[in-house]
Amino acid sequence: MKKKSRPPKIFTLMLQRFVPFRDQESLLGDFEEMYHLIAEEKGKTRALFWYGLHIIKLIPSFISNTIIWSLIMFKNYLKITFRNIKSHKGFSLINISGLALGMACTILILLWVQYELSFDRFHENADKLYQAVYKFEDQEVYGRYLPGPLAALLKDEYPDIIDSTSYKPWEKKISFGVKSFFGTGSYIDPSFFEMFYFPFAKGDPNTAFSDPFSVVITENLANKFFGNEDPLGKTLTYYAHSQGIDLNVTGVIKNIAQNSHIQFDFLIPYEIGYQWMKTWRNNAVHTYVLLREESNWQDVSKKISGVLNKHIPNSNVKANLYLHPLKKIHLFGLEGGGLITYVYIFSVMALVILLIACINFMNLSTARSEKRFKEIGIKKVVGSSRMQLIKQFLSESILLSLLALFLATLIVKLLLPYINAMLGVELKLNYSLVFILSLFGMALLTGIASGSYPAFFLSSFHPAAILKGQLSSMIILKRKGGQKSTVSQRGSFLRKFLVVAQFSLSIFFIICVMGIHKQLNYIRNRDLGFDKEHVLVLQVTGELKQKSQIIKNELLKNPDIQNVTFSAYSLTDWESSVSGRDLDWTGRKIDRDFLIGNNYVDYDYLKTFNMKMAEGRFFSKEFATDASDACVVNEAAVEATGMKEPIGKKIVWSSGSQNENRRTIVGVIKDFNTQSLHQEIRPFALMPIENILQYMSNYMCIKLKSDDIPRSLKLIESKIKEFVPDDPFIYHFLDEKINSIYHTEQLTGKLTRFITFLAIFISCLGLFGLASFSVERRTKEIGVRKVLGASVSKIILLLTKDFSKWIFLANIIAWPTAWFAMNRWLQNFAYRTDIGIWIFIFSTSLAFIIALLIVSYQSIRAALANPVDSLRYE
Amino acid sequence: MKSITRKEELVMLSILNLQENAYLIAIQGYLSQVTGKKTSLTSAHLPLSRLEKNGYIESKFGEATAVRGGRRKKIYNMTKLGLEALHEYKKISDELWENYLKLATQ
Repeated sequence: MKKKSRPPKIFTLMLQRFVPFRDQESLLGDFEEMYHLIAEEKGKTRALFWYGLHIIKLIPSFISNTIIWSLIMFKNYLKITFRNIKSHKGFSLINISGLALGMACTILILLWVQYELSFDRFHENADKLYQAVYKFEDQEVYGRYLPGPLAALLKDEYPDIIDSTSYKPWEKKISFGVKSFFGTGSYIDPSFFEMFYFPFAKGDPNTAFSDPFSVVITENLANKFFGNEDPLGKTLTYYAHSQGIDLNVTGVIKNIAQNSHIQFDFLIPYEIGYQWMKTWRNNAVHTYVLLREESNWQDVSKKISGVLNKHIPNSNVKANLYLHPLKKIHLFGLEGGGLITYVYIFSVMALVILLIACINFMNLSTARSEKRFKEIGIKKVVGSSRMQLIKQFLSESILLSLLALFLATLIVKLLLPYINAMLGVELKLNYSLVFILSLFGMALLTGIASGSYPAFFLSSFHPAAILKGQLSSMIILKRKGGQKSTVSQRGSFLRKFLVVAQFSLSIFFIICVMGIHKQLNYIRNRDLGFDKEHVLVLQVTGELKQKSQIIKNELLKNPDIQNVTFSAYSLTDWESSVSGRDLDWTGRKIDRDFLIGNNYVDYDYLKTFNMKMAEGRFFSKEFATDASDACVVNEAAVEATGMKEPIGKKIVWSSGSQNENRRTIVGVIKDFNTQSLHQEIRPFALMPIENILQYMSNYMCIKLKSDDIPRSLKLIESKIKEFVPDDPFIYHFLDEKINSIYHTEQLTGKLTRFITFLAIFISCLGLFGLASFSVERRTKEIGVRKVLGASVSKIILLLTKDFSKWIFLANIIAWPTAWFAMNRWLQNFAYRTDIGIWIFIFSTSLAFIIALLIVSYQSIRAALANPVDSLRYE
Repeated sequence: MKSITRKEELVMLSILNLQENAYLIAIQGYLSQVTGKKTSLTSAHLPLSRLEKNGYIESKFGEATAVRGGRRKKIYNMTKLGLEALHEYKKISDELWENYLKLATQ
């Protein structure tokens, strides 16, 4: 008989997939027979069509069947899961809470990352907004402060730039009647309102600044001044200049979101700003531009790069202008680095924490699943397929991780207020779909990752081997090389590997935390070249400026006050600087450009801050010419200018311009570090503020003698109120201000400490679970050993020996990696401490002690137990 | 006793008539032939699986032929329960017929 052509194999395979399992064989046979019948009767094509049609017909019933069965099985898995949780309460508690903590930590970090990444994205034009910045041509010096006329010029001369605005934030006093307030007022061009999204609660942005004597305030400020009254049309007095100017409130802006790098309390037209802001000579304002939709910012950057060199008079400044995207301002520093580094570091940390928690989960479930061999064996014998077992284990771990997720969100909700207070941020749990989905995704992934080992490994054994093995607790598996190993050995190898990984990470964290702590301490205690303790810094306002000498004498009468000094700029901010090219001095040779900071200070400056002279003298009253002729530079300036014998040399500020300022160097002051220790000390010059420059006394620094700070504060306040009764008494302490420079570092320190604590805690939970498990498994062995005469200490040693070996290994892995990471981090600082061997030794011993405590607790309990209890049933 | 449908009655009668050869294709073919209407494979299988689930019929594996790709047939057989149900069905419809015929001849 001629062999008939059979239906295509692929069709048959599909049919097989969809046909109910019970009738698979006979039905497939029936289908094939029918196929041949139709083929004989009506031709092969019809038969093929019929065959194919039935595949499609079967799909719906197949799907509904699958769903029904998986639901039934799922109910079963759920039941088993909860029974397991109930019957091993301790284990489950450790397991779930460890995972929940890890997840909570991850969620918190992700919230923070999300917050940092959300900065400045709320502007409608965010993609097309840029800040103009510059870089010196031959040096790694960057700047954001630019000449005032630049904004208008960019808009006029470059068609790519649709709009531009200057922006000059300025901490100044503003008052309404007797109420006054120090806040950030910013000079802006009217186009600011169109470029940025700062919606008005009241008033019209188009006409707000049609009159230059206007002010737009935030809702916060409006509330402070006017309460529930309508602020529009009210008159505020603004004290930037020596006399106050009256400004009309023309608009109220809704409070600014925290995730904006532009923060202000009120806005003032640039038109009424200082004259010096509007010259090309001074780098005074920030400049923002809005690009045309189709323009490429990199191209525009190239086009505008020469603008500064062309327009700045006496054009020997070689600074290239370029654009920096608005969305990057918060995260990316101009020099590279910036907050983004921490965003990366902490994202990785979040994953690592989750990993540690997963490892725990995996460890404990594998440890426990060996106890469930019998269950697996019986299931297999009764006929469950491997797929079903895998499904069961996976759904169990996914269920547990969902449970942990639920707990984690609770933890996050409880912790969030504290975290926000600690970090000074505004994190919120938002219940957006994306967020919830990503949380579920995380739980699902965690569940799959941690459940996959028991699922795939344990389901792979032959049922007979499992059931027999349960009795002897030894299952012999043939490995490839003919080598034999037992399941428990293989399982325990994996567990040990995971413990090593966990502890390596924990030790790594401990070392990092201690390294960061040491560096921060080093910064705090480093000799900055001046005395920062007990120094009160106040801003001096209008009337006080004219009476500065009087109040100084008044204050000095009090024994609590050691010294009082006035200066034009704050010690900690790099407010005013001049390019080295604008400078001339006797014997000038080098052509390298540099920035030299300057400050106008009174005669008591040196004494107040306890700075030291390296050479020469500080200016003083005794030399009549000092007020107009003297200046003092720091050692860095001497080095930068390359002067050999600086004392007596003439130095000309702003050479070539009309207001040339010619001064004699009377002394060299020892380097003092007012900037962040990330940078080297920069060249600096001090000039006397006496006589003509009286109006520049913007800051008053008061050195307190006593330790009774509150009393001194009260005294100073009452004195100052005598002169300016309406002004709020606002001050800060110098050391606090200096510490705040390292805000990011301290934040990092705090966060890493928190994360490390969690990492160690979770690892310990895991170790605790594992130790108790392994002790429990060896109860009988311990009983026999005791009966045969082993001492308690020997048994403890036996049980702890193993763990210490693995923790030792973890150390070996953690040391070099941590050393490498810390070194990289320390590279950020110009002044840094050594990591030192002690940190390593300490963290190792800490890890050992914690681990030993945990393991020995279990061991001692086991060793002290009466062997009768464990052997009674044998 | 659960009631059976007309379709199920026909399927069970086919099984009885086909005797040792009562498998799906044969039943479907027999039904098409008797009723004169094309019965699809699926519409024959549905009552079969329901009857089997209720215990009216039982099945065993039969021979495997080349035309089936070497797969065995599933041969159906009536159970005692099935036979009872069939008789019950017949009794009810006979009674109804008798009554009607009586009325018609009067």
